[in-house]
Amino acid sequence: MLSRFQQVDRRIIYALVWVLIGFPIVAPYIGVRLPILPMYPTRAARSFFEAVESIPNDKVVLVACDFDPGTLGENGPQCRAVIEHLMRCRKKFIIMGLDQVGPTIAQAYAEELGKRYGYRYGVDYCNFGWITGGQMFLERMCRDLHAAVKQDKMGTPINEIAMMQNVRSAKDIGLVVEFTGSGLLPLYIATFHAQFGVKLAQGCTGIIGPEQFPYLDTGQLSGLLVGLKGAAEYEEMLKTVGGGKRTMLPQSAGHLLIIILVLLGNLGTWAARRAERGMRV
Amino acid sequence: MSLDERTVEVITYFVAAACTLGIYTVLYRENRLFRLFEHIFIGVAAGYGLAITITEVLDPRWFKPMVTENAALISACDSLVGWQGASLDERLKKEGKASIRWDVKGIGAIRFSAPPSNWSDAKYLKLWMHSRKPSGGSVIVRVATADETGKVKGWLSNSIPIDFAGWREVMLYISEFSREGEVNLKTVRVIEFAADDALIAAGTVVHIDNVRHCVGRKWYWILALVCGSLYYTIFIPRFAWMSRLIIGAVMGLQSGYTFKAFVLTFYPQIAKSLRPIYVPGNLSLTLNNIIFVVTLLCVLIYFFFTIEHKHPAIRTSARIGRLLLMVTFGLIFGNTVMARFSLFIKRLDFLITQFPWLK
Repeated sequence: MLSRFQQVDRRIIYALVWVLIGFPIVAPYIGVRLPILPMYPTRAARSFFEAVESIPNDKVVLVACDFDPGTLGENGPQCRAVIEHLMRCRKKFIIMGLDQVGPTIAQAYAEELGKRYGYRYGVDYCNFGWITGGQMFLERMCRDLHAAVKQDKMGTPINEIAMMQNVRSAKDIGLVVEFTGSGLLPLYIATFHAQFGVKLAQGCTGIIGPEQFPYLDTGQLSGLLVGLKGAAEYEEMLKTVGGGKRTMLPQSAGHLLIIILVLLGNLGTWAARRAERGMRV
Repeated sequence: MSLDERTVEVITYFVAAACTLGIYTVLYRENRLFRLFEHIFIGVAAGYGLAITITEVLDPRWFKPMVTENAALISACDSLVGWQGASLDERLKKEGKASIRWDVKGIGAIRFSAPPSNWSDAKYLKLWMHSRKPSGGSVIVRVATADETGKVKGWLSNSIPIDFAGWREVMLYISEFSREGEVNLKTVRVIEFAADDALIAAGTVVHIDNVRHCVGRKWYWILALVCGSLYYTIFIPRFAWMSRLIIGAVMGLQSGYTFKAFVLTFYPQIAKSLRPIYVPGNLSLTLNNIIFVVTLLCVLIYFFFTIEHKHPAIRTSARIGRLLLMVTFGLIFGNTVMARFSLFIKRLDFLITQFPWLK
């Protein structure tokens, strides 16, 4: 009987996932009030938050959005929460990305949040768009930003952008925050951090999360947000409810389901082996 | 026919929802609807990638510099940002929204203090200038350059005779400027336009528009196309050897950068791996370091395949190393589950919370 847990139709599992994850999202619309789960920020997330808070006012932040819609579910809420924090602290920032779509997504967040915080394009933030050339480009950017980037995403010359008048090289950048689902961090470490001493912080997807912790341990990263949970931790520190904290209940429900299924699967294996042994005897 | 914002929003939602649900039909079983949406997705992604490569990279960074003068804008003269002593004129202009108006009689010199700093590639300075009437005077163009500390140390100067009325495009070769002090074209700080006595006496009003420094047409960038095309010679057996030239060059370049990045990125990690296993007065750090060092050594021993794992010390360490690796794989699996759920939640959140009649 128990061994049947090994042959559960995958469609039943998918249906359970849809119901368990879908219900907490639908609940507010059908009058069911569900709690928002409490979050306890990790040391890595707290360090990220502190790194943003400690940026000198005369320096700008480089928001590198190296993600695409494929990892929007994780990098999106992280990026939005950090942009909101930058706006609350009145820090000026530059959006750019080694991915084609990331800067466009971040621009949408900045425009939406900018209305609330009175942030104006060109004065408080700007967008360089998609950047090609990888490490070679980043090195050039660190040395002479105006020579590396001639115009912003909209085609406006960099020297015509008010906030860029005093931003000339890596020494004018107080922090680089990167959001990614791929292993592009070494490019920033080899340029901004190792050669020019600029602090780095990263928001990454859950899959590459474990690989990023050594960088945090060595001080190459000043902060780290891992997956949607990282976004939720950041929102907790910001005392706001966004795409991270709001979705922690369905996320936890999904995790609970997987734990139960793993236990049942193991129980099934154990029962099958026991039955096999009994038959042999 | 134009659609209102609400209609566009509803159509966008239903197209996106149909795509999401179409892709998710694979959860039931492999089917034609899934394949249709999969192909649509691949087509859209490829098309978007190609379009953005052309519009954001090839056109502005390769094609335009090759066929145009490769002008770097110093000032479009559409705002007074960086200008001192001048006013803005939105009626009389050559390009853009406005031009810089300079009443020579009132103010002898105007300056622009926010030029791009690096002019090292520039061959000439180009700008539009308008004079109401011809005069015997000239506008002296002075470019201030600074040293590494930011202090102005050198000047370039040249003059533009105002012997015309109306608009004229002025072109001044950098090599024809006279030089004073230590000129460093990598740190240009200020451009100054000063009127000589004859121009002040004539009392004309000068307009300046679209100031830029130019490298000139980089016709030789066509070589990039030639080099790039070498990749495709691989399809012609007779000329396939040519593809190796470009592949070799790119590999060499990339290897150099990768090696540099490797040293800069991983050397600090190797250095930090050498930790003391006893930290006086700090028990938690001592424990952390012991766990770290034991894990490091056991995993390294596990990957020593050139020695047979027969000796009990080696065998036990390798087994512990393997177990620790399995713990890591479990951790990665857990994070992968979390990541996949997050992506699914985002789509489900979109389907439910963005439903046009629920918002």
